[in-house]
Amino acid sequence: MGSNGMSQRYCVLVIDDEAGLRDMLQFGLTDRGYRVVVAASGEEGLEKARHEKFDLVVTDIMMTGLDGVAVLKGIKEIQPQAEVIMATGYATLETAVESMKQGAYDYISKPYGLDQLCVLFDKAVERRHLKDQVGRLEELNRLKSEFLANMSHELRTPMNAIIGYASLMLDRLYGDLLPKQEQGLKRIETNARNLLQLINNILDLSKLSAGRMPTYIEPCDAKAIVEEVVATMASLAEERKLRLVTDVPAGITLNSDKTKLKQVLINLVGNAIKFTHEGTISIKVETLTGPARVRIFVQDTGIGIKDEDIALLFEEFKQLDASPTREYAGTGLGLSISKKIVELLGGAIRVKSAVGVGSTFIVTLPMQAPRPDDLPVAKPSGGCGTPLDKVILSIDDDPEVLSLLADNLQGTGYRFVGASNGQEGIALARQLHPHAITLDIMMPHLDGWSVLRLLKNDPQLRAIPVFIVSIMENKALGFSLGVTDYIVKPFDRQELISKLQACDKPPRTILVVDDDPDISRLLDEALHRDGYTVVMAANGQEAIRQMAARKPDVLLLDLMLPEVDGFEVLQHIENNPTLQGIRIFVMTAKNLTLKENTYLEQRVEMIVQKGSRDLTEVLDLLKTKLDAVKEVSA
Amino acid sequence: MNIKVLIADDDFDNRTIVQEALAASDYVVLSAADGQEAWQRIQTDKPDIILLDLSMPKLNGWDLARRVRQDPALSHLKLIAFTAHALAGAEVKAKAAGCDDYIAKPCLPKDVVARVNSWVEQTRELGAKTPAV
Amino acid sequence: MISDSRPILDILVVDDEPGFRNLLQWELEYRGMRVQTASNGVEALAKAATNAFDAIITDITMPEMDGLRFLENIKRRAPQTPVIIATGFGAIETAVYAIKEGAFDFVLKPYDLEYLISQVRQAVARVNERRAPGRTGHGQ
Repeated sequence: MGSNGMSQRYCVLVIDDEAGLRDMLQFGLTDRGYRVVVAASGEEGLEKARHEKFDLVVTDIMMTGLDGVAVLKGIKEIQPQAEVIMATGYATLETAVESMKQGAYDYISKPYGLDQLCVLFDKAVERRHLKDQVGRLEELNRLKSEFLANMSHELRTPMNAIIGYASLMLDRLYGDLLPKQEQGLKRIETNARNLLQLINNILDLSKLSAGRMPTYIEPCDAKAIVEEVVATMASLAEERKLRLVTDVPAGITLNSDKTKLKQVLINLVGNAIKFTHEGTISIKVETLTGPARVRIFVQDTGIGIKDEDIALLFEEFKQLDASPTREYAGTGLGLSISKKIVELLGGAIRVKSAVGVGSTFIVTLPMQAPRPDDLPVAKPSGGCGTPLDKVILSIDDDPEVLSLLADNLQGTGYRFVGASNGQEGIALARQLHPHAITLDIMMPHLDGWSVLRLLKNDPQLRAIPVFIVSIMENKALGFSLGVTDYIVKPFDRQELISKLQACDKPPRTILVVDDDPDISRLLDEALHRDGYTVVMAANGQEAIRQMAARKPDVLLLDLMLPEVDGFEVLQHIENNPTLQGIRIFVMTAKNLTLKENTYLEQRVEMIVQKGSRDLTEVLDLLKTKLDAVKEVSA
Repeated sequence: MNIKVLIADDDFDNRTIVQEALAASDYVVLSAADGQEAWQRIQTDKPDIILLDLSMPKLNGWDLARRVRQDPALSHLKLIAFTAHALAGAEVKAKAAGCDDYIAKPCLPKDVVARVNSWVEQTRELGAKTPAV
Repeated sequence: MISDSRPILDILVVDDEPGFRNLLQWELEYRGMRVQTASNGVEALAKAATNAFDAIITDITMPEMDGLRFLENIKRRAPQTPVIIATGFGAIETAVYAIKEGAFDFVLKPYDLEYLISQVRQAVARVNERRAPGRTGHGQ
């Protein structure tokens, strides 16, 4: 269609030295709603381009005078936003490649049908819209960064003055002090320091949330870093009569951001000191394989954390002790910042605790932090994580609808975030990686379909299920564009929740490797019933082949296989970085030696002895493990 | 000690605080409120150490540092940069422009004094002449 | 060995024909570049996962994972790395598709070696231009 629903006519410039073709295109395209301007030569075409803005240009390549590629270059100089389509009867690879490199949208061979051309036009126009969209979002992002940078300077300058003068006075540089004056100044100094910490935390958090926290990846020596952290925190620990010990082998090096790592460790050790009245705080580091990781434990003998509070621990601004006396002062931001930093470095953080005994914070980091230039690997947007991690992002221009959705999702365990237009929605989707998105269609400026296309075209976001919430029902179009389901307004709370929950357990791929056909069949049936996609292999060689064809999420591996056995399969996985991240469960009737056991323990999630249990028990065990909240793997 | 320290910062408070702290440790303190004034002071008063804020009007800290480093007669000058900007890589940039050291604001005045003291010590140990020529 | 005052470039050559791989590797190394090779898309991705390359030259027809699939994948993981397609398979649609998917260039075998090398250098120069001057390639 030459005009979209908003009755906008697109302008097309047709450049061809063949009169018949020019006339045909002019007639045919005008008929389809385009505004058409023709030119009989490259020079004429460029002349026209200097006087009028075009959305689309279709140009012949072989013409006397200026040829198509020269025209393309000319147009891109005059009107870079016009999308140019090269059309020719004499196609050569060199001109095709050259045209594409010079910025042509596409290349079409004569003779072509008008329909074919119009399809290209539609796609070209869409690409233009998307590019503009991206340009606007990038500008927004840039403004945000600038703001953050300025703010940080503006806030720190007066803080410097306050801290500076208080310090001078306390050092008696402005004369002697009465005890009350000294007291008052000390209070000013303490408050100033707390305020500064708060400012730093808020700025850090803003930067992290905006994705504007650059990382400096370099080789980091774990032992050296821990020693530096201990040096910084030693006096604080001493003040409170606590022991600070470390267990870090030499030679552990990981590629990550040294400063941020220290920041996280200082936060964890600081918390440990704060919440421990007596005893020891210990820092331990170890390496893991499958995939190669470093694990840091910060353990204390402090007051511990209640089970129900653990979920809240990493939330921003949440403090576990909300009592008026506020025995443990703090901003409640430290852990949420630490968590975000750890995740930025490609890792994960969790905690184990027992009230009255103590807490252990465990930070797991990959040996190689993700490169800042590259797109982060798309995070699984459904399934794992505590319910509070599951965000539902709703995009709707009607505040009433957003409010209604928010109310309906109360108490369901999902966290609701609303956006009142497409741009805001997409920006939030990129930041939050929501569990699911609900989308209104009728919105001004950027309508639902355009938002949908933008989401599905973004490799980071395309896996997120999208639900159209609308009074309109154009299901065929929706499903063909990638919509997961429809929720027709006015909607029913039960329907809303059940549809959202349906995408909780995406079917996962399990590769079952066992040479015993009875066992494989049983596993296949059972797992199939639970919604998993099951692939089978009867020996090690086939298993390796299957893994190369499609990387499974889970591997159920029997050790005793003909020709290539389970250990060799494990070795293959270890040698193959592309197979990192597979959850491996080993089943065996074999009695394992200690050496074999240790080897396996370091590489697989669970070892099941077939002989000791019957198959249903094994299955139950496996399913509990599979269904349990996944350990976020680094 | 007759060591001269020049503090170049457009922030009145910071200039005052640093001046007070250094004077109390017997340094002779000169001040400038912008880069250009700082450059003039360097020519006329010949300080030994310069504390410079990186974002000053007229001539900012980076450019001032670069100018100083271009002049071989000023090679003995120690340059200590500071700034309230929290830009990643500011320290690296400052050192690339020719600064010898870098302090992030906010900072305690006694820390600034300690840093200046340590540079004086270092220069003494190297056997270089401390007073300006 | 032609010595170069420019920084050493790390190149990945992907082709299922060993003769071709070795020839290109030799020629590039002779010109002072560091070369790694892979014989198909899967191997190439594995190498790219643990190494940072300045440029990648890849064939299209290969087993396990062909050059176009590889291109799609590598553009997702390391979008800044320029990829040059060097193939005997010369359909125009393929070339157009490859460039749209982000390939830096598309040349037919047998190709002009000097042209290929100059394209590699151009591609690297283009990437460095896009980064702010003075950047070491890590944070900002």
